[in-house]
Amino acid sequence: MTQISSDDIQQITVDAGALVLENGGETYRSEDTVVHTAQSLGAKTPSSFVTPTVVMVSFRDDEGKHHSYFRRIYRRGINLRKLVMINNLSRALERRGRISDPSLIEHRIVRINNTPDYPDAVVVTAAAFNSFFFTLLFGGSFPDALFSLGIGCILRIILLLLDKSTLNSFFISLLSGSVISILADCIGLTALPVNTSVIMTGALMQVVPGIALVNSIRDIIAGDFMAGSSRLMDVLMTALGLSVGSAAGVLLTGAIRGIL
Amino acid sequence: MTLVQIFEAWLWSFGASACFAVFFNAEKRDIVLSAVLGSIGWIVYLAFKSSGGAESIGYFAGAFSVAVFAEILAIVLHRPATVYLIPGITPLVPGGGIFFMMRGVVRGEFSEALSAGYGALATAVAIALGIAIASSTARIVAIAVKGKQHKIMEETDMSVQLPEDVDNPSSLQ
Repeated sequence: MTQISSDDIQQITVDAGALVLENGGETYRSEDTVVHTAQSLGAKTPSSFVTPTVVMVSFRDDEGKHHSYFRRIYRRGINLRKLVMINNLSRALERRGRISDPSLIEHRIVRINNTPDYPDAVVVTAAAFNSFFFTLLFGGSFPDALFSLGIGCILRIILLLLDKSTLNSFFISLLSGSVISILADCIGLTALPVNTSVIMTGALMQVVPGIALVNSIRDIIAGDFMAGSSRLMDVLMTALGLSVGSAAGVLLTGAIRGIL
Repeated sequence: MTLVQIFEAWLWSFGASACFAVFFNAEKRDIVLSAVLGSIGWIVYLAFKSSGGAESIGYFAGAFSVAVFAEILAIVLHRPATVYLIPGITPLVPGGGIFFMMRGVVRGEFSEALSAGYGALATAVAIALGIAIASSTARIVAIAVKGKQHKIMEETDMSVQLPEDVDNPSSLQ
């Protein structure tokens, strides 16, 4: 069997772990993927440490030398399609035992990274109907839900435009909060019989960090305290951004009422 | 609850989970399945809530039922359970609560902030516990089943290549 260089092992295992983390996988799943990949490439006693911002791997090679490598993670989202593909790869590696050609895994990782997402129009429609359904779920009337649908649609278009920029996530949640509250409070200024707080809650559901809060508690229950507490900080900062942003609507409507 | 109310709740939670699954870029078949799970979780929660029990028990039961079905689907369809779990729990997660907590802090209404924050935390812990219990049970079952299969394989097929023993000192030469 040809010898796989330790550099290749480091590169590929960290790539695989980062892929799981960046697409919304659990911390333990990312660690498992790194360890399985390293084992199948012939590393000895591989171990891995993952937090929401870093993936680390460390192992011993055939000559008994120690190697470790890490990668900083900046952007995290949820992409279930890529998660399924990387999970299949990890399972296949676990089943097959040792692999002699590392470029096989490298090609699979590149292909997973380049999988296309749903087109923007589909995402905007889903966002609009997401706000619509959540408004109804929280006891809003049909007119409330229709206003929420419009706000959700506008918000997602703005978020998609900002996606290409390098703004940090706190500023993006600040902006989303202010967009939602300004639009909802402007609807409240008219004499229409609507419930603005239900409209706001429904439209907020697509940006509010509920899933992230549950995932942070899941990490803490699983014993990954570092990952869990940093995810919790992330949740609090996003919620803070949204609520500071939502003060914009209150201030603006107050000013308009003062003028009228 | 009347039958019409149940049907409405089913429809809205189905739509809400389906839209979240599209956001998270799930495949088309997974979108439908996770939306079904989302509506099951919400109906279970509503059933517990309307029977007069504590709210967090309802969240626990809802999340538990979603997680059990997600683990079953994961085994049948060979996918990670997360694919069905994440969109499935979206109707239950306390997104609004954590927002109202921070809004209370910003506005200086601390009692409102505290009650919303405690509510959100209790909900999140209940959901996470429901998921953790369901997935730990699934893991135990999976290990038991896998161990059996492994034994059968070793007995029948001796040519199965096992990965190299990592702690074998002779391989260090």
